[in-house]
Amino acid sequence: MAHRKKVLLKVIILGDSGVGKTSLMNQYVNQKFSNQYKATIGADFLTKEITIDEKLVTMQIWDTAGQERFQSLGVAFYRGADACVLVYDITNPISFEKLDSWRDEFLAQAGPRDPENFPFIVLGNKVDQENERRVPTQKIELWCKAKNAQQPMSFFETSAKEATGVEEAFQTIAKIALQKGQDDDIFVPAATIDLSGAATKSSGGCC
Amino acid sequence: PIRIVSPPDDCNGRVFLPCFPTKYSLPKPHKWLEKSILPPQPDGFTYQMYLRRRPRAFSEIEGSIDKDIPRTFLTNSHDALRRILIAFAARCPTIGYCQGMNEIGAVLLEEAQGNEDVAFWALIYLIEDVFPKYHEHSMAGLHADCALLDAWLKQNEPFLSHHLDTLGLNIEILCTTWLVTCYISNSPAIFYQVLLQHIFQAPSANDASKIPILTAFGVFRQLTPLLQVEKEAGHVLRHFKTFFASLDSKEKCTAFLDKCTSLWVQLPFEELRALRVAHLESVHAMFDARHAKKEALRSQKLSPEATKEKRHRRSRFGLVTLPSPPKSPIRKLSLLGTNVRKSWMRSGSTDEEPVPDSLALHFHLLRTVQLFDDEMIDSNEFSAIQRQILTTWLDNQQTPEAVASRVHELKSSMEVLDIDSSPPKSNTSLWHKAKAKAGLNAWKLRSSKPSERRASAPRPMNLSPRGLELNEISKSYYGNEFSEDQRVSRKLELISQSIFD
Repeated sequence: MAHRKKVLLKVIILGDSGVGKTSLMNQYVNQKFSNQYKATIGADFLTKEITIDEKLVTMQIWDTAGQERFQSLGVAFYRGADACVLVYDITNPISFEKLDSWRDEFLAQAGPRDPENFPFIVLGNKVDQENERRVPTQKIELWCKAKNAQQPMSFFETSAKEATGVEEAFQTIAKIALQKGQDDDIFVPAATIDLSGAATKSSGGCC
Repeated sequence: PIRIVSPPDDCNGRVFLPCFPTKYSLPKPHKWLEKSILPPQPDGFTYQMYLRRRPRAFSEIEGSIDKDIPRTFLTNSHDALRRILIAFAARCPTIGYCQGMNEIGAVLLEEAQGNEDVAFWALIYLIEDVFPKYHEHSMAGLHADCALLDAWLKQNEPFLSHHLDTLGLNIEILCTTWLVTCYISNSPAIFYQVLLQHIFQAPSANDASKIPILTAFGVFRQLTPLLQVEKEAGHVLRHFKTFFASLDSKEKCTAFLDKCTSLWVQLPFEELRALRVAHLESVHAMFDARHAKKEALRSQKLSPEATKEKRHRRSRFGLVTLPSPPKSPIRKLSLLGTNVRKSWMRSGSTDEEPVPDSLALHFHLLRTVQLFDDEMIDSNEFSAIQRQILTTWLDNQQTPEAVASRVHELKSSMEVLDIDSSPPKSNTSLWHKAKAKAGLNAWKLRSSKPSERRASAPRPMNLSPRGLELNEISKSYYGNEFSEDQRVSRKLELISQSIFD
């Protein structure tokens, strides 16, 4: 157990077209903002190395297309995802209402082992346009609670433009995903037992 | 030297020859977009007529077009672009507007020097005739072409295909943008212009439709040596980006497209069409399966109460102690028997909020299970009460169809719960699996050839104290009469016995 492979976390960003998925990814990874991003077609990703609890983690952050029809490619894009970031635009109530469908579609297509406890996080983007806000904070709070009363999803209000809350949000999702990954490691022992090697492993693990 | 990889059966692909010099030249260097090369429109509709029509789901389409136009940088004529996209959606409701069409439209407008009419028909030619339904709502054509590229890659570059797979990459991730935007959002202007020139000057739309997909295959061929040694998915992606960025002069583009040309002259359109049809069939089968899965998920997904129920039901077989059930009505039920049952059911959950019938039934059955767990009722009472709950519930249902469907739903949900119910259970199956595996290993070792045996036999140094002990035991049993291999296999059997029995 001491010998762990390099940790790679695959994080998928989902949400309606134009809510700022590409901007959030670029703000987090490159600390840059531009209002010159083209619409994302298909999927793209950037990686960032971070340290969590003294552990080196490579985050592979996947930016996806927001148009609904690209959801049909989800099986290919979401495979092996460790966490999912749902994004809406606080000035656009429709993008908030679509969160449900993004979440359901993700769960259906990624097919995680334990859908009820899959690590999700919700970001309400564009808080720099506070005066145009049309989705009150309470609404998203309620939504998160309704999805999972015991362990409500974490949510952050962010601004990719002004870098508000972005770092915290991605740190949080990395932590949750890492924790979840470790829990799964404990509950799911290796599928096969190689008897010739088992002896070495057990003698190493018990001390 | 021609390297032919034997194709796997039934994968609907093709083995391509290596790229060779071709004499497929470009007729004219410039002005590739001319009205004369566009197909005549037999239905007699004009751009102006489509402009006057409103597409179905107008506001939705208008909304997504308006979001994308300000972020299309290839054009300054935003209004013209908007008009041709909306006219396109009016003409072709099965496609409407797909992201990426804005990029294509902008390039066409530019090339047509602002002549919307020409750009509009060129767009229709590309999207409707050349691309095999990439942009439709289901994107079925894109899925099929990705599957086809995947098959080609598996056959022609098996190592690369496997390597990409281990990095978590696939054709859909890599090629969607290339195909949907006709390489416009990936490559320098000179490259996509030359490519579009090829497409528009191909003898027919059929010939043209070979070009985008085979160019993608050509890119993989070109980059295979670089890609298959990369250890990280990000670096693979970077190679593609660097490669496209390097196609910045006419010479480089022509050199690369020459190679692609040798691919597209190898593949007759009829073959490509047949391959596409075959892959489309599996794509539709996949869509159906996914749809069924989604329906199943939806029916499984009940209110939060249901999740609670599920957890309780799980714990019946598990290690978790159950929260004690609400005492009063339950005692009454267990003491007074069936007469109180109805009042208990009423006091249950049906009063205030409207709870689906099946959910109420679940709830009542669950309570019975809890009673049984707490040893308040014995198994006979348990089954009698369950039976009565079920009969009452069934009596309350109005139609026979409803009864049938609900019972089916209940059965299937109970089955699902039983399968994933408890940790001990899954452990058992795991142990059984491991046991079977151990037996198989021992058997393999006994029956395999000596050379293979040596390879798979464990080195004694690797054994733990426990393993060494077993080694001693086996030695004392069998002495040295047994050959090394027999002893090893016998030992494996002993180990597996000691672990599992």
